This record gives sequence, structure tokens and C-alpha cells, in this order.
Amino acid sequence: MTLQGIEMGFLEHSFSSDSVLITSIDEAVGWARKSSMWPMGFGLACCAIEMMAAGMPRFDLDRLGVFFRPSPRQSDLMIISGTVTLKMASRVQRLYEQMPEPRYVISMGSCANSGGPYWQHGYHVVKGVDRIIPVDVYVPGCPPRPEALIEGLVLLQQKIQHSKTFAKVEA
Amino acid sequence: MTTEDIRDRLIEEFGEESIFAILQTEIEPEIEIAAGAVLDAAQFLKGQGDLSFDVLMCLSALDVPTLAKKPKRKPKIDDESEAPPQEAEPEPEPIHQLAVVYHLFSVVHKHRLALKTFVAVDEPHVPSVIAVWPAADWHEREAFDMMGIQFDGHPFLKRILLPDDWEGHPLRKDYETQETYDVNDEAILVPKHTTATPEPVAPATADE
Amino acid sequence: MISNVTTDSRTGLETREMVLNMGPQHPSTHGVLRLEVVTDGELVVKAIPHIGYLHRCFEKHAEALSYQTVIPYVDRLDYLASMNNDLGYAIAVETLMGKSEKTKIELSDRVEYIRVVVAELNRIASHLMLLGTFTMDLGAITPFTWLFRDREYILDLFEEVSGARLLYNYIRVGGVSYDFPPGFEKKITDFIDETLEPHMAECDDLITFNKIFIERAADVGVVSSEEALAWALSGPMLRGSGVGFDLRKDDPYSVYDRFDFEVAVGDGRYGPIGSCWDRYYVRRLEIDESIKIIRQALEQMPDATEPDEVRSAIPKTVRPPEGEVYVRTENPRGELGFFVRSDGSANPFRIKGRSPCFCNLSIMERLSEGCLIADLITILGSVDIVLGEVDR
Repeated sequence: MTLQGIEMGFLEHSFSSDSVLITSIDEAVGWARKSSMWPMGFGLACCAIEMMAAGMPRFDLDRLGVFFRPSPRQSDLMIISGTVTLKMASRVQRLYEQMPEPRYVISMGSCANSGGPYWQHGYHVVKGVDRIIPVDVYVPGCPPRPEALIEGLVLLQQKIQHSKTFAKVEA
Repeated sequence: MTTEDIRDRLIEEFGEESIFAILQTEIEPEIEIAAGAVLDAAQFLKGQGDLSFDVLMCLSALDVPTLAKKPKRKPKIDDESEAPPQEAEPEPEPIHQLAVVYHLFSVVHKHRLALKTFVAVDEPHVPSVIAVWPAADWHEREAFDMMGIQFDGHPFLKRILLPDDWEGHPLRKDYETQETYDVNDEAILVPKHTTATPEPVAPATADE
Repeated sequence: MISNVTTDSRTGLETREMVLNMGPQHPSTHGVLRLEVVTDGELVVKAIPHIGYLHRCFEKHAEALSYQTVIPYVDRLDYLASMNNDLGYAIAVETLMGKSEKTKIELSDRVEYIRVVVAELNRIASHLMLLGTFTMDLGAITPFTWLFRDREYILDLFEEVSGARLLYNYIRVGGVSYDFPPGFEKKITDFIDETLEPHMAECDDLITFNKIFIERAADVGVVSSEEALAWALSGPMLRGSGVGFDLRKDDPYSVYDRFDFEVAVGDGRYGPIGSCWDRYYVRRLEIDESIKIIRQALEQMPDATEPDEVRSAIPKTVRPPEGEVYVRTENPRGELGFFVRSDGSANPFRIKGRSPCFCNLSIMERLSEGCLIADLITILGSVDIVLGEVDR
């Protein structure tokens, strides 16, 4: 890839993956990204209340660097907290597409995981948000405790830490 | 005032062709009225000083089980010898009906009333009471959305809970969910309701 | 979409109305509500609410389940006041069952008092949430964090008694699922004495009589008492407009007639009666009244006479007689009504939840005419909606 005629060596993955320089940069970038995940404030239903409680003084997500942003354009994480209905599904997809990459999705609660208590007769409920957007971490519970959401965030942090940004990915 | 007294007042005003019997007296009495008389009865019930039903607590729509029409009562004949030969009674025809139940309350007199009206499922027209109680606006839209009852005179009778392009009225007993729903030009499968118990997933064995 | 070009007579400038979309994802709409706002500059011409983004087919589910297993779904209607929802539903089904001698349920006093205590605690928790989110909508973040901290203590109490923090499945048809653990009554009174009352006084110092807050809220979103009745508003929306109607006093259910408490009514001390500040203050006062009720209930509550008393009246199968009833109870947001129709079987034939937020939100279009965009948020916050209940 060239930018104004200058070759962007980093982004072409033209360094081999076992170079010390690249792994250190990868680790540093991973650490920086995981330590400041900014979710979009997107509460749908009951799980949203537990998500808010997780951000409040007792459980305090701010110490993990998590800071809720109102707009998808400024966030890199979407926590689907609550039931996604068919009427809402198109908006969820559009919001996901509006987030800049790298972007992650946490599916919080059983409704977002698989339709939840409404799986059987819910004609208007999407049986799991992974039918419309890709999900990175699933947090079970109805609603999951704030500690469970924090565990989901920590798992996502581990995923981000170990993801390779600049190193060549072996096919 | 009791429901019987209110029914007497209504019959005085509207006559017996619109105001029918009191249903389920042991549970919670409901006055059955003809669908066409709903708006006039509503205005009467709100406007009269001793009734003053100023609050529409709830408007519910029902899909009642198929009811059989009651056979017509035979005229009484004094002289048995002149009686016509007995014919076999034809089976009463079942009719599928929808019902609307209005629960009213008066803050002034602290009495409540339940009104019920039935409409046939293929011609479900009930006059809208939005002019009497503005609270009926959203209730009637929901009854239309969920049950398909048309409220004549409602200024904006559109779906309120389901998307505008949804097919069918879900709370009817014979409702079949549509197969797919279009989300951003992609068809998503709509979950069908099922009463079947899901198959248990076999646990993963050690060598998998 | 832009329309309706008008020309200002003094300056000759052309102005147009704009249609903006607020939601369904928006930090201030308290859930998935979409407001279609037609604005003329900063003035709102009208704001039309569009709901249904959280329609989870509760009424269809209810027809397929048995009466007791509907309770978790009823919890999720107004998820901030689950105990009150459970109570309303349980009382509706018990009322229907009480119409026949065979199915009548006699509840012991202890069960009734337990129900009242948890319902009032949940009312306090719900109002704390509203006080916090309403002030956050206006820009004050601190009360939100303080009030949530206090709400967490109540959730701890609920976790101890029912096992869950938010959606309890606690009050059943015919009783409650668990009795209070030993020492629980003392924990409640300690919490109220040592934590809740001092923190409520702090909250009053911080926000309730704060000049900025009064200026923002006291002249906005005025609902007259006639309108409130015509639109079937209930709860603090109705009482904020000066109508002192509270179902706990005027149509008492459970054992509410045994308590001595006041009904908080808006008095328009800082602006017209029925403004957003009045509704906020009614909710603030209701916390004090709920504290009074809890104290009286804990004093009057009898001890358990047998080990499993609270579950002893729960029937094996709930099978009400054929018929339909409409029973209403006072939720923190207003009058929650359940229209239950039974056909004699173990599954409900029809349950309609008359949710207070559905009726309270319907006045939004009328209230928002002519206000500023910032006031629109204030008005929406003061209606105190929970979308789970609006959409059911």
C-alpha cells in the first residue's frame, strides 16, 4: 500500500513475525488498545442497567480504561446489552458499520447471546445478535452481574493483547 | 353506582337494541354493548354528572374462542294439537369473534365499569373513542397492531409496536409467523413459535 | 428532510424546519425510543415518539406458559421495579382465583408484609435510579454516581433475600419464594437509618433545591390536571399535576390500608403545577413515604408460625376459574394493570399488561410542542419511561 508515493512498510506486513522489534510494537499497541476500550453507550434492555451499574462507583469500569462514548464514530467496542428485536436489528447493523476498525462486540446477556427467555415464542426477537453482527465475547446471564461483564471485558482485553497488528500473520 | 344501575341508565338512553346483558356477574361484571353504540355510550358515560367516567384505565383486545350462535327461541303454542311437526335442530354455526374490553374509572365518584363489545373477525370495525378519552390513541393503535381491529375515526391508525411492514396480527390464536423479515436487505429467519422441547445437545466426548 | 420554508418578516431571512431523528440509540432516551423531532431552529415544533424497538412478545409468551412461569417475564416488563410487577401480577391472578371457593387463596399476614416491604424497597431503588438519570440528562453527573451507590445497597438486600440483583422472580402466585433470612429486618432498618436517610439529605443539598436545576426544570413540561386524567396518566406524572390519587390509598390492595403515610402531590412552588420539577419532587418525597411504610411494616410484621409458611399457600397448579378481571396496583411509574382472562385451564388465555409508561409516554407529543431541544430531554426524563414496559 502506498500513501502519496511512500511505501508503508509496516502496514504491508513486510516484516517477519519473529522480529523482536515487531513483537514489542505489537505488544505495546495491544496494551494501549486494551487499556482504553471505549464502548458506545448502547443499552437496550435490562442488561443495560447492569452495564450502567458496572460503570458506577462500586464496580467502576473507569479503572479499566472503559469510558462510554455516545457516538459509534468515537468508540471501538459495542456492548449489546439487551434483547435485539427485528425492528431494532437494522439499526444495530448500521451502528456496527459506523464504528471504525478495529472494533469489537461483546454480546451481554442471554437475549443477545441466543434470544434469551424469548427464544421460543418471540416472533419479533432476533435469536442471538450474532445473526446480524460478528461477536467477539459472549457474557452469559440474565442479567449478568457486573462482575461477569468485567470478566467479559478482561477476556476481550486478552484477545486484543494477543492480536497481531503489524507482524505477518502466517496463512 | 353498581353496574346494574349504570346499565339501567344506558338502556334508558340507548335502548335494548344496543345495550345487552351483563356478563360474568360473579367474577367482574361487564356490560356488553353493540359495537356501533360504543362512541355514543362513551360520550354519555363521560358527560353525565353522576357517572363521569373520566379515565380510560385500559382498552384490551381479545380473540375469543369460536362461539356458537344461540338458536332462536320457538314461539309458545297453547294448543298442542296444532303444533307443527318437530324438525331436527340444525347445528348452530360457529362464529369467530374479536372483542374489545374497556375499563373505565371515575376519579370523582370512585366507581369503575367494564364495557365489552364483540365484532366478527372478518369485519372488525369499532368506533374510536379517541375524541372522548385521548388516552385511547395508543391503546387503539396497539389493539389494531396486535389483533387487527379497525377503529373507525382514529386519525392515525398505524402499527405501533411492530414494524410497519409486518404481516399478520400476532395475538390472534390462528397467527402464523412469517418466514423471514428483511433487515437492511438481508432476510433474517423469524423464529417460529414452537411448543416442542428442544433436543438436548450431546456432551462432547473426550476424543473430540 | 427539510420543509416548510418561511421568511422572517424583519430580516428577510429564510428559515426551514428540519426533521431530526433522536434514537433509537441515544444516550438520553433511556432505552430504545425513537423521537422524530421536527425543529424550527432550537424550538421543537413537535416530537413524535416511535416505540416497538423492544417488543418482546410478552403477551404471546404468556399464553403458552403456566401462570407461575409467567412471573419471570413479568419481571422483565419494568425491569427497574421487578418486585412491584410481580406483586401486581400475583394479586391479579389471586383476585381471579378468589372468585371461586375452590381456588381461593388465603395469604398469611407475614407474606403480605414481606411483599409490601420488598415492593417499597424496590420503589425506593427505582426512584433513586430516576433521580440519578433525570439529573444526568440535565448534565449533573455527580448525583447519578451517588444515587447508584445507594441503590447498590438495596440490590445487596434483594440479593440476600431472592438470589438476584435485578430480576427477582420472588413474589409468586400464593406467596413468596423465600422467607427473610435471620437478621434481615435489622439490616433493612440499619440501611435506612445509617445510609439512606443521610444520603437523601445530601442529595437534597446537592440537587433538589439547586437554583440551576430549578431553572431548568420548573417551567417545563407542564401538564394540567384535566389533561392528566384525560390522557390516563398515573403515578408521579398524575400526582405532579396536583391530583392526589394514589392506588395504595384510594383503592388499597394487599395490606396498604394498615399503614399511615402521605400521598406526595405537586404544589407548584417554583413554577406552574405539573412541571418537571414537581414530578421530580413527588418522586423524591415518595422515597420518604416508602421509608415510613417499610418501618411500619417491619414493626407490624408477625413472626413465622411454621417453617415454610411463606410457601404454604402456593397452589400446586394455578388454575383460576373461567373469567376475566382487571386488577391494578401502584408501580413506581404509575398504575400497572393486568387484564387476565382465564379459560379454566392451567395456561392463561390472555394477559394484557396495561403499563403505566405506555400511557404516560403517549402525552409526549402534546407536551413537546413549542419547547426547546434541551427542554425536550428534560421532559422525556421526567416522564420516567422504561422501554421494556412500553413495548412489552
